[in-house]
Amino acid sequence: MSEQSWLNLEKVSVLALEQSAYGMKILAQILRGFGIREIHVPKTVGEATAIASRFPLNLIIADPGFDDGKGQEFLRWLRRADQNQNRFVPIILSLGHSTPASVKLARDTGANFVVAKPYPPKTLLDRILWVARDKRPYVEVGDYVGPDRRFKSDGPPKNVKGRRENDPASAPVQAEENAA
Amino acid sequence: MKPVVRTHRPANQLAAAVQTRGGVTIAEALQHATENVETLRADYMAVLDEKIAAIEAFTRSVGFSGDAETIRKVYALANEVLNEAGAFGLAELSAAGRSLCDLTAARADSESLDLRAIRVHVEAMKSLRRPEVNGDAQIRAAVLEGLRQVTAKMGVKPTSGPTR
Repeated sequence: MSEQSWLNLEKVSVLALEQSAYGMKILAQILRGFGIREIHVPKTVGEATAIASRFPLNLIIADPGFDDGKGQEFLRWLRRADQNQNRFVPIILSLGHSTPASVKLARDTGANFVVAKPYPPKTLLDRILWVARDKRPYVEVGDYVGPDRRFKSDGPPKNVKGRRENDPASAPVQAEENAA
Repeated sequence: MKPVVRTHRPANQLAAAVQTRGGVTIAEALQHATENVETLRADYMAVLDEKIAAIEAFTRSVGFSGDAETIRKVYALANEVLNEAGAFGLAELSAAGRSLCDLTAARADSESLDLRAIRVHVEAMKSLRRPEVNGDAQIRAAVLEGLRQVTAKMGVKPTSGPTR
């Protein structure tokens, strides 16, 4: 989208989970600048759970380090909460310092996208618009619940039988870098 | 045994919300966001100094020996400096925070952490806050290079920041 494209995020409801109080302030200011009015900023996983159980959300932006590292636990819970209306809400993970192991662990929460901090507002807006366009189905397989990591689900690799009932007979699987 | 895969195709409510008519241009939204963050700058600079002072206090406390719990706290504060200073365009301070994260993450479970390396990072952060250093790109780069040498000497592999 060009910078002259129109954008209306007034009806978007966001749950923001940041590691620090000031990180939360910065994120909230960016989101308000985008025109988002409903921003939930809990201080603990308990509060986040209550919000996710009560209000319909359109987006979660979460640092797994939220509430002394319990953010990841919350996201895993939400993706597995059968009766929760927000179970499949798009999640953007915002990571500060991270190692390959922590990135993998974070992706396994079932997030739709990972963004590295610090980021300028443009990067965050790009990611929000990307997840708004994300049409991947969500899958539950083994311990994983989240968006299908196969971007263009054209089926399993050549000469390999697909594991899903609806897999085409045989075709290449494509993945896109950066997506969770 | 073949794993069971359950597929869900929920409506993307974010897509529906974004498609609401009206609003502002993307350029305006970005400008508003940048201006909003700027309103926090003066307040944040005091917070940043407090965070650096808190890291320093840990390293100066009597009996500080690099125990795992204290190192974890230092790591958390350094991570906040990385994230927050970067949001205000303080790239070198953010990088210093990252370097301290690299150092403490790599040594969190080890008794071999050289505490002097943490103190060097604290001094670097404090110097980057001084106007004469903050205003000189060459000096800032030299400070970071010093940190790079410290962590390299300790065998710490640096992580990279976001790519744009």
